[in-house]
Amino acid sequence: MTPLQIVFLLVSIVTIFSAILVVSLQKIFHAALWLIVTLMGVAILFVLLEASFFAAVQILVYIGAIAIILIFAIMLTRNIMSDEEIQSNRSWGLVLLLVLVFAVIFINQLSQSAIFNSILYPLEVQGQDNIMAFGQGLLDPAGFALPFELASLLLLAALVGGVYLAMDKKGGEAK
Amino acid sequence: MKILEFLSDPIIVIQEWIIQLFTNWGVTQEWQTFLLYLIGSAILGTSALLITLVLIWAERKIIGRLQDRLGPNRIGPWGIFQPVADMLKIFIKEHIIPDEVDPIPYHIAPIISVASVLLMWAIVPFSDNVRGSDLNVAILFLLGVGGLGELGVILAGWGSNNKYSMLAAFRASAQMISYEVPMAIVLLIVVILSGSMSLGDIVSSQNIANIFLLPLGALIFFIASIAENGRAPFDLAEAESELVAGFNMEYSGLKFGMFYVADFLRAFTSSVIFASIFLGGWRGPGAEQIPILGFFYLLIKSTIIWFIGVWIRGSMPRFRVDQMMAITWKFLTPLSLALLIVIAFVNKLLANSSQLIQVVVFLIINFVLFYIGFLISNKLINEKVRMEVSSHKRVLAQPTNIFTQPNSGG
Amino acid sequence: MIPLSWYLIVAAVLFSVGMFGAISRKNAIAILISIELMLNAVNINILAFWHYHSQTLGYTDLHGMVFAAIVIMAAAAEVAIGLALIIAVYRQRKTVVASEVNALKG
Repeated sequence: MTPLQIVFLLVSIVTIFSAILVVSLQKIFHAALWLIVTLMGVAILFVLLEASFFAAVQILVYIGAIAIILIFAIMLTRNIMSDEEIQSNRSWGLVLLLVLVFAVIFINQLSQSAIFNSILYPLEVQGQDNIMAFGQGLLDPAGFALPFELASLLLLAALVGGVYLAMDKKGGEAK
Repeated sequence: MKILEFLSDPIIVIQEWIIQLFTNWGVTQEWQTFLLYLIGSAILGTSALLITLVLIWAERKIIGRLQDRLGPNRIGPWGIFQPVADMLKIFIKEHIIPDEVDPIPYHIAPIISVASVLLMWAIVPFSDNVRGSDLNVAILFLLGVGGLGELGVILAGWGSNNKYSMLAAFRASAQMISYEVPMAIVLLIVVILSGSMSLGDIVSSQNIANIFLLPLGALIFFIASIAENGRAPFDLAEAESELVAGFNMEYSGLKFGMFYVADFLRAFTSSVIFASIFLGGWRGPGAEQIPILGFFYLLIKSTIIWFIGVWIRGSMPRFRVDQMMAITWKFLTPLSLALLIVIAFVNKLLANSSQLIQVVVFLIINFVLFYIGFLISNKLINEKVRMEVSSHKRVLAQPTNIFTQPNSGG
Repeated sequence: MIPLSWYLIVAAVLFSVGMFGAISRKNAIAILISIELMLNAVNINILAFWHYHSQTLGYTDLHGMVFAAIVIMAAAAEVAIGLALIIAVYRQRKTVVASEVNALKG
């Protein structure tokens, strides 16, 4: 077992454990905190996959923005949903069974593909050149400029929609 | 001669000695790297926390002198053991935990605050080849750990089971999130100018310090980092004379000490980052040959910036929350976006001309944009016109010196 | 040194856990959190295949990186709008339980 494999096993066990806690805790604030642990574990997995740019973006966007906005929303809506009721629907046992069946079928199908057992070695092109190629590809018209522009339009729509939804109807502007 | 060699590059010499030691003991290569990183990070974290002692003393002395009083001067000559006394007091205080706190957020919040500040020290280049780790996405890493700092504030506010703490935590985290935006945009401009996101490359590519190319960007970054830190004049979240203590109201003893340390250390850390990005970091005369000189240059530059921060803290009154939000969203962010667009254009246009023309053009752009921004922000300030209480001057009891002459009757 | 199968299994398990949460939780914000888990599992999958593909090709393959970046952008936009909607519904109906917002039910 190389040290990297040990690190991978530890990180994936922590990630899966905290994901299970996310979907099963009664108090939703604690679920959001365990979500942050899960996101951090996913970021470490990205580093192991040599996509260090995406690890940094994951920490910056997911933990630094999305998790914080989720925590804000939980704090703003907490008085009505009391944390003592059961947080899952009545049929959660059936759902658990179905999800287990789904997971088994999924992994079985994945394992029948030809490349399932191949080993990932460290890449030859590393680090800075990856990111430069990524940046140039995003802006290249023959590359991925169109998805890039569409994604920025999507973010613009989200921005305008968010401001409109948050605006006070009496004509003032909430922050 | 060996002593001179050791003195000129002590960290690399010690590192090679440790590698030699490990190879003699038969430790494999991967474990060697791992153990070296472990020892390096322990030394870096400990020395960062020890610098805080000096910083606390220096800040209290300087603010005392700015306020026309001596600072602490009882304990030790010039009061230099005052932080030691402070730390001893904080260590032995009782941890009073309120009744219905949420244990996990309450206890983890100070740790996350200190951790996010200490993580920033991992990427600072101290000399040509001495740094914590050479991340090639160091700028993103900086912004990310700034985000972790906000998380610590929110957890502290929620975990205290106190609605005033929560409100103060909301305001503090809204402030920190809002000021990350101009900071990120100015860092983007620096990345455009130097072509790489790694701090080591940014420092190496500054033949002319970035502050001469981007004075407006440096100003925006400086204001944004003071606001991220939560120091005056942006300390409305922990206004020490108004609210009780903001989001760290329910903390006592060492947990409060951690917030305290995080606050002071973050000021110095952001001035070290400012010095690396805008002032050229460890570069200076003779720093390539003698790396220890580079370390001293970095210390001197960051101390100057930190001193300016303390100076501002001791002199300016506090902002209101709507003024603070208006500054970032209506002034800093549009200005930094305009600066980004113009600099990106001009950088491409001037890519082949001489250094001097580039510097002069950039300086002109900066000043023009600052002037335009200033004019626009003047239009946005709507002064409330004070109502005249009574339009004629009262004859009796009217003091006639210029300081107390009212301009709106009575 | 880490087999590709390990990454795919971790991603599959995370996806299943997220699916369980999305189907069986009552609180609307908890459903959004589970959707975030699923999107992260998808991201791990995409980047694992990107790594394998770049290793086979010899140079950096761009498709995987762009896909993962677009997934992160879409997730951010979706969370922002989803939470704005949930808070707007909360203001009107004073509830965040997903099954109680049933005014249009037949």
